[in-house]
Amino acid sequence: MTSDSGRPVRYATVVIIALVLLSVLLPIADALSALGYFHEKTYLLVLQDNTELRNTGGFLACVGTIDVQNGEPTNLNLHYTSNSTYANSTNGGIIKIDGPQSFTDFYGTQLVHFRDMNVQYDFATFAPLCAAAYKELTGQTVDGVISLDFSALQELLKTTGPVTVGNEVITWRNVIDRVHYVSATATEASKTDLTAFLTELGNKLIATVQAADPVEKLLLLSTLQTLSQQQHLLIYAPGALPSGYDGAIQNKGGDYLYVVDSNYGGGKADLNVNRTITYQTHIEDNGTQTSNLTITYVNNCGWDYKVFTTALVPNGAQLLDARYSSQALGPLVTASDGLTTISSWVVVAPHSAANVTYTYTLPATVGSAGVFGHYDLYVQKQAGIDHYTLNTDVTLPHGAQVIHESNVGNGTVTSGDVQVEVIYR
Amino acid sequence: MKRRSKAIGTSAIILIAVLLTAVVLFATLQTDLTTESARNEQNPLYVQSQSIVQVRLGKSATANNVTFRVQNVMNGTDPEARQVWATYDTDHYAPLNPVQGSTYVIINATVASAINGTSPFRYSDVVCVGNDGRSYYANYAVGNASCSASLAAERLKPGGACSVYVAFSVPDDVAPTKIVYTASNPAISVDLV
Repeated sequence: MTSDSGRPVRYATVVIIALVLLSVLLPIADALSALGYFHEKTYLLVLQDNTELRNTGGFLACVGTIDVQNGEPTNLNLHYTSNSTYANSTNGGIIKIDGPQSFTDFYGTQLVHFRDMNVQYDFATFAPLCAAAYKELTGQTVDGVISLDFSALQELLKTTGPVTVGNEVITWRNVIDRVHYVSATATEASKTDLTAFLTELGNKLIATVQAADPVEKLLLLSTLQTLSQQQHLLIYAPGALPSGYDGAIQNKGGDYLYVVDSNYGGGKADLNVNRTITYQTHIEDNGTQTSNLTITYVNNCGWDYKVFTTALVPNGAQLLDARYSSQALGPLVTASDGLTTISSWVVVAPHSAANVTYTYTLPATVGSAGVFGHYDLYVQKQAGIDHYTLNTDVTLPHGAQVIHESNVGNGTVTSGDVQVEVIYR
Repeated sequence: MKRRSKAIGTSAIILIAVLLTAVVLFATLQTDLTTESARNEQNPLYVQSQSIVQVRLGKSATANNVTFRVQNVMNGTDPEARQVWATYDTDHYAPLNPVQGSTYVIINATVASAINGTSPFRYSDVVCVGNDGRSYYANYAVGNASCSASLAAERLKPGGACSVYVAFSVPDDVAPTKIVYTASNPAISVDLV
């Protein structure tokens, strides 16, 4: 090979190496930027109380900001989400929302309190709206939004061990009750007792992590990864992190199911409410489907559990029937995010179970590859829920034989998303 | 040819050695992480203070400015506890349904100022000691209106006793052995067994 004929090969090799290096270095640069290595970053911190479930994970117990510089978090500043907290609030802390339609239609309003504004179906949609509302109320701009729920607080304390806050020992066993006690007994509308408690707790956790040895830091990283997968920790940092940390709707084509619940008026009940999602679908010979979705709630609390529940299913779904076993309002069928949404308001009596069942048809979602049919169902878990039970049943077209199936059956207790797959011929 | 075979053989041995070392290191790290996780998840061991007043269930003890008596110990399903939690609307904030693998131990204690003035008292200074030798710290406390006000203010008014219910979350397989009021000197230790 002469030097002239080898030149294009060398150039191509250099270009390929450069592209590979860029593809490796750019995410690293983004991550370093997100961690404040190039200049300080300020994140909006949202603490969601998932014992009172809301669409994006829980009631907005506290919000605030935290700075990150060279990977070190500093300047944690929290405040309660009541309307009186915000100096710039000229409208009583009321925020105008433009959806989702299920909420605005059912409740007949586009105006919500800041602390109740997480009505969007996922954190990725809520986070930029929350950041904009926060800027409107406080004048402060942020580089991203981080959400933690109370289950995350418990898991972090399991990882770090107990910390002392105001001479009290806080462990994973008592942290949720302690936060609720401080909140319930706070004397001022701005709940400075609560924010002082949470700020000290946050600073103690940060100090513990900073002082940790490498094994403890690895353990913490592993905990954070698990919390992120289970959507107890959510991070919205556009351009800085790969997708998968922001709880976005995962509509990947095929069949899809995402049940999103909000507890309005049911108190701090949700760690004591068990959910079972039962999904049965019948694939017709032409590939269309008829599906039965039953959501069962078991309320172990001593008072009514009131839930506004929305099932997000593939676009084009036609609701045939809705049945309720208890007091309920609905169904309301709307569209959002390229999906069909079916909503109801359900009351579950104390120490009892209640369910809602929807029957609907779907256009063909089944794929095919040669002689094989391929049915995929993605069941997305709502942020803030610790776990739920999933039952699935797939009835294939006449004469079809199963070649392979996964996650089909009853009693799958899961704390994350589930991919159901059936291949048949 | 022979030299090349020898080099390949040496490389293979080095590669296997590196892989084995990596596997061993990874396994050690996993063990360390599991041990660390289990250690941090547990509550701290109870360390008895040098000076204590020891009493039995139902008996009062006074130390510093506080008189302390544990009347009764129950679990979260006890009708008395349920009644108290429902009466003071506490269950909407702290439902007595523990996380999986845990149970609530609830004590009914009477506390009073032992002097002719107010005395500091925090229910979070009351610790439940399990038969595993570990300290379990208070989760929540409930009392009647005036008692709740005293608890929130962390001061006991002179005259009259405050009847308070304090809840502790403990593992299912752990039984409470003593309740200790740790803020006084000497500490007051109530034996439950």
